[in-house]
Amino acid sequence: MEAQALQFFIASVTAAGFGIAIAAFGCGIAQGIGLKSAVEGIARNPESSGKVTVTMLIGLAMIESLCIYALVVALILIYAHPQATAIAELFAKAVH
Amino acid sequence: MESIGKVAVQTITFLGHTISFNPEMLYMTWLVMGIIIIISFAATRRLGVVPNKIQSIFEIIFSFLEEILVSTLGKKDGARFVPLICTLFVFILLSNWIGIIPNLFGFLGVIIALVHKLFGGEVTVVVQDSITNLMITPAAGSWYRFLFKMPAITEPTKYLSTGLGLAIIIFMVVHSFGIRTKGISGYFKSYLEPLPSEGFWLYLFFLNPFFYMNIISQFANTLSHSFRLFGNIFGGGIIIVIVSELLRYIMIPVGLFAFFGLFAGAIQAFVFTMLAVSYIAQQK
Repeated sequence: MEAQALQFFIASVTAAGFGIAIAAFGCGIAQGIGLKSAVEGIARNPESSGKVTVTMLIGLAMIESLCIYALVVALILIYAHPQATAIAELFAKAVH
Repeated sequence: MESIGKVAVQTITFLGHTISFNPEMLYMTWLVMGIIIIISFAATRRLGVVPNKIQSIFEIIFSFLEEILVSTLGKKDGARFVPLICTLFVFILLSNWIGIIPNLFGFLGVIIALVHKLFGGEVTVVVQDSITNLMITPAAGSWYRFLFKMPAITEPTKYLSTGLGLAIIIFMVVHSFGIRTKGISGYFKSYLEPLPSEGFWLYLFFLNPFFYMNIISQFANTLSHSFRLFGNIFGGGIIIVIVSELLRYIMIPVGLFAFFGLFAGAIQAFVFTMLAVSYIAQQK
C-alpha cells in the first residue's frame, strides 16, 4: 500500500509542476505582449512614459496574479493537501 | 530546507476559547511597525524647508503617492486617503525588504560565542559534516545566550494572514467609501451596473445575473489582492532558500536577494498600493 501512497504523492507533484509550467507559459506570452505595447507607446510619445509605466506595472501584476494562483495551488498540492491525512488513513486501513 | 512548508503555530486559551496564531508573523509585524515609528519620528522631528536625508525620502514617497491619488480621486477625496495609502506602502515595502537581513541575532551570537571560546570560555563547538556546519552551544549562564533563541528575521508578508488582513482593511475602506459617496440606494444600484438601474430593471434586482457577478467580483478582488502579495513574496523566499541550500558551501546568492528581496518587494508594495487606489476609485 505504500506504493499507492507514493503514487498519490507523485501525481500531486507532477500536477503541481505541470500546472506551474502551463501557467508560466501563458503568463509569459501575455506579459510580453503587454510590455511590447507599452514600450511602443513610450517610444512614440516619450512624455507619457510616467503614466504608461504605472498602468503597465498594474497590468503586468494583474496578469502575473494568474500565475500566482497556479503557484498557490501547486504549494497546496505539495505541502498542504487538504485531503492528505484522510488519504493516509485510507491507505493505513487498507494495509490491515 | 526542512522549514519551507512549515508554519509556527502557538495557541493561547482566553476565556475558554483557544486562539491559535503565528508567533513569527506577529513578532516581525511588531518589528516592522517599531522601525516605521522610529524612522518617521526621526524624519519629522526637525522639519525644515531644506529637508535632511530621511525627510527627503519621506517627501518623495508622499508627493509621488499624493500625485497619483489626486489625479485618480480628485483633490478633496484624494487628500483624504493620502495617510492610509502612504502607511500601506511604507509598511509593505519595509515588510518585504526586512527579509533580506539574514539571521542577524544568530550570527551575532555565533561570533560572540567564538570570541568567548578564544578567550577560554565554556563553549562547546561540534563540527557536524563540514567546517561551515557548526553546532555551537554556549554555557548555561552566559549573557549572550538569548541571541540563540531569537527568531530568524523573515518577511511578515510571507504569510497569507498579513496580506489577507491588509486586503480586508482595503475591502472595508472601499465599501464604506462607496456607501458614503453614492448613498445606500445608489451603492446597491451600482451592483446592477452594466444594465440600467431604474424603472422596470429595478424589479429584476435579484434575477439580474450581473448582481451576482458583481458580488463575486468584489470578493475575488480581495482574494486576489491578498494572494498576489503572499504568492510573490513566498515564492521568492522559496527560490532563495533552495538556491542557498544548493550553493551552501560556495556562496550566498546575492543577486537573488537583490532581485526577489529588493526589486520584487518594491514592485509588489507599489502594485498592492496602486490596486487599493484603483479599487477605491471604482467606487467613485
